Amino acid sequence: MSVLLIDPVSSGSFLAAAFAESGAETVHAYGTEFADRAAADPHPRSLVLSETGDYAELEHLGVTEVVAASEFGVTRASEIADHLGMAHHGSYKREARRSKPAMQRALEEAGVPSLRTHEVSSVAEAADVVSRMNAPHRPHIVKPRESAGGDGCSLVTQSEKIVPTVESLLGQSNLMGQPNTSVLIQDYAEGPQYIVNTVSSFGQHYLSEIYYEHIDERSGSPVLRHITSLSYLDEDAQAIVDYTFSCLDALEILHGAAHSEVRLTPDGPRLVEVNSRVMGPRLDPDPYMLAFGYTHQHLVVEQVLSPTNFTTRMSRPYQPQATLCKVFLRSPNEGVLAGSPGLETLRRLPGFHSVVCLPTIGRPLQDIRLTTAKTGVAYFVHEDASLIASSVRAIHDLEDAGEFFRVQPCAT
Amino acid sequence: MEITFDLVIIGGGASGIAALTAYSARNPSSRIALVDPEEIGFGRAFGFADPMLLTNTPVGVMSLDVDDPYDFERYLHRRGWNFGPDSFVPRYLVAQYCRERYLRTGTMMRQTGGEVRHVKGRCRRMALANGGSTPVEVHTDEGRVLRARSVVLAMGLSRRHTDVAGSCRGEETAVEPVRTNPGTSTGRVLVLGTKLSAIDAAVTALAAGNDVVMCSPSGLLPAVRTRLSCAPTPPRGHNVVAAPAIPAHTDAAPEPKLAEEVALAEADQAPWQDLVGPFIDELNASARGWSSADVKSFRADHARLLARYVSAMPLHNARILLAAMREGRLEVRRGVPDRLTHSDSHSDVSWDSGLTETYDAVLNATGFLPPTLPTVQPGIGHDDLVFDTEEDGNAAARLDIDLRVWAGDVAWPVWAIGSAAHTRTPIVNYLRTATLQAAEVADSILDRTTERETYVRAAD
Repeated sequence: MSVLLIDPVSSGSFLAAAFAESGAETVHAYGTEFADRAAADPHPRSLVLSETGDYAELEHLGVTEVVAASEFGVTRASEIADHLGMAHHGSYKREARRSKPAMQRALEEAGVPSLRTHEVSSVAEAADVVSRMNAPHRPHIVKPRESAGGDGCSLVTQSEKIVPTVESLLGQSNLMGQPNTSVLIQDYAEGPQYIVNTVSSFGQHYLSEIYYEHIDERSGSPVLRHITSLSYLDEDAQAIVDYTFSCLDALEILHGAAHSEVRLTPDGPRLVEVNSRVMGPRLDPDPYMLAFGYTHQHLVVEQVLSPTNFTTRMSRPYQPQATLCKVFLRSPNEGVLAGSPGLETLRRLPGFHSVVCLPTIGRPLQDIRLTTAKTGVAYFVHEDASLIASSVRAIHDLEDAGEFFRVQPCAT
Repeated sequence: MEITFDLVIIGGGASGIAALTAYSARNPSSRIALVDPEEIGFGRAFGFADPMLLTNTPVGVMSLDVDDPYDFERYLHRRGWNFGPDSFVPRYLVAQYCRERYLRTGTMMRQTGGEVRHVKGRCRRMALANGGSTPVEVHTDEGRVLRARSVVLAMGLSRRHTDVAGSCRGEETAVEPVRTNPGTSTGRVLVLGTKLSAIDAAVTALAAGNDVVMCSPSGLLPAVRTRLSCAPTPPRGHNVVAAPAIPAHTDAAPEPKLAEEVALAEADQAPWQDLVGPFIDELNASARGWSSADVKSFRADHARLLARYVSAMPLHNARILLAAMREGRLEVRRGVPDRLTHSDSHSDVSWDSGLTETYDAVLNATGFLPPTLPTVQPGIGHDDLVFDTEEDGNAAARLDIDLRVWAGDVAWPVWAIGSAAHTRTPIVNYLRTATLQAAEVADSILDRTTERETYVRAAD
């Protein structure tokens, strides 16, 4: 058996590491835009896929499974699996698994409650969308189509500001360094937001983890501060999970990982988006292992390599032994990092597990509002969720006071 | 649904944990419930997360276990904190200490066949059942009924002063000046009050970049302390209490006065502070024999002494206030506003001098009132005690010198500690007071009174 991992970048590198741990034979395949990553990949069997797909070569390599290892590989993995005749998601909804408007339309068609989403590629199209709005005074989320980590995401509360916001995003470089060619305008749903991570097998879905997202607003943009796992499923959480499973069905997600974001609105759960791959941007395995006894990526490995074991697991309820909180460390100010005095406090707090991706002293901080993990990620794991909440509140207060990261203004 | 416990503790803050610690140490295989609507351990006094907000009393007097005065210091050392007995520490560390002690106690009790349970909710009513080993029924607002052998009232400070002064009566504004725009200046803030709550509010508002005016009828800030020590052994008698020798009050302007006190504290020339800890312990022990009217009048007669020296501020906060005064960012005023008018964006404030000002926020930081004791309300049931009822004709329950609750001529198996014991205790806003009382009460409940000096029972 040889597993083809498509675009193992971002958290996909953790998925690749999980397959490597298992001793499975894998092939790392990158799109041409990641040729430099392919060149730097020490894996013995890594290659760059040409635009035509290189199907013959893949058959020659003995590929028996295809897995999308990041958001970039979602469509490519589906196409390759189809060509090679391997089990994958339903090809009919391929576009809906990548395009947010198509995703919401697919839910609508399946009778699953959804949020209206429009995709526009010009100011004129944006103006047309606004002119056709039934309730123009409701808030909207405006963000680039190829958005990640909150890049370019704005909460627009007045409809007259939608068009200028679209105009400001079109043509701007996104996180991948590509110009934004289209922008999404999505109904904003009030209510707490949750992450639901799943692994599916032949259309049966298994809940890997569910998290509450703590999101602040900074200058009109949502900023993710931390996510906290739920230790059990109460009525609301069960409704969110059931709803997510119906979204996965509507999108024909049959095999492997999915990472969904759902808002619990007064009208019930509403999908923000489904990503048919493991959660990003980082999946450091140890804290997840401690809290859940598995990780999202290790469940994918089990589903692919040991389907019988995975089927047995699917009959077990969601019962983590501890709460996990993942904190996206931030500085309120741009500048050159002069020190990180808050780390001493962080490491002494009850529940602290580990901290990764710390920014380098003497270098400018990057992406202080985005969820790219470039200013550090701290993990807390403890059986007592209240204690974790207390520790995390203390860290956020330090961050917001500018006492966690000390920065000096960048030289002009 | 009815559940049976050896002890029900009303309140899950620091005083409640002190009660839990004392009782569980003496009876580890018992069943204990803590009734609180919030998570246990994170009470109002220490539940703030802001690392800027330090305790007003140092580590050395904040052990939850009166039999182990180094418990808090050791807890901090085990987490790597290099704090000594004279250190004033971020408040959230006390809350985490309370929480971890609660969790640890639960684990230890389970190993000996005991149990600690958190019952979410508020106690609304208690009733005496006829006979049986669990004579008290504790009714919560969620319809639960707990049957208990004994009850400890450990409700902390929860009712905010609303009578700020004069025409400001009834103003209710947030006490916490939240950083709405982290790292940026947010404007001008009026803090009503000049005592410890007000200093917390001012320190936080200043850190967020605001300019601050503090005001109170006295316009006096507390004195500055660098430590607070307690006597090596708890007081055991009712000695005659002498007020400590303290510096005379002067009418010096706030800035030079504060500068002088900061300088004295920095030079370790504030010997009065070594008397404060033993004074509090002795005063509280002696006052047991007083009537509640005596306790009340003592507080009124010595209000300035208590506010200045018993509730002194840590040097750390004093330095912040002094620096802000020197930068022109903090003014401390005598007097209170005549009139406050709030709009969405600002507050207009008029003073009796005729001055009218505009503030971006007004913070009512005049502190909190102690909880009221439950009220006897025979109309509901036989000798029921009802909480949160202040209707005319209902007599408040009383505490005897053992801090036991009496309703009429009936002594209930109910005791009060901390703020709930304020009618018998002149100084209650001090964790050590609650821990001392918790140990005594645990002995009383378990009938270990022979180990203590015997008082003459005298309900008011």
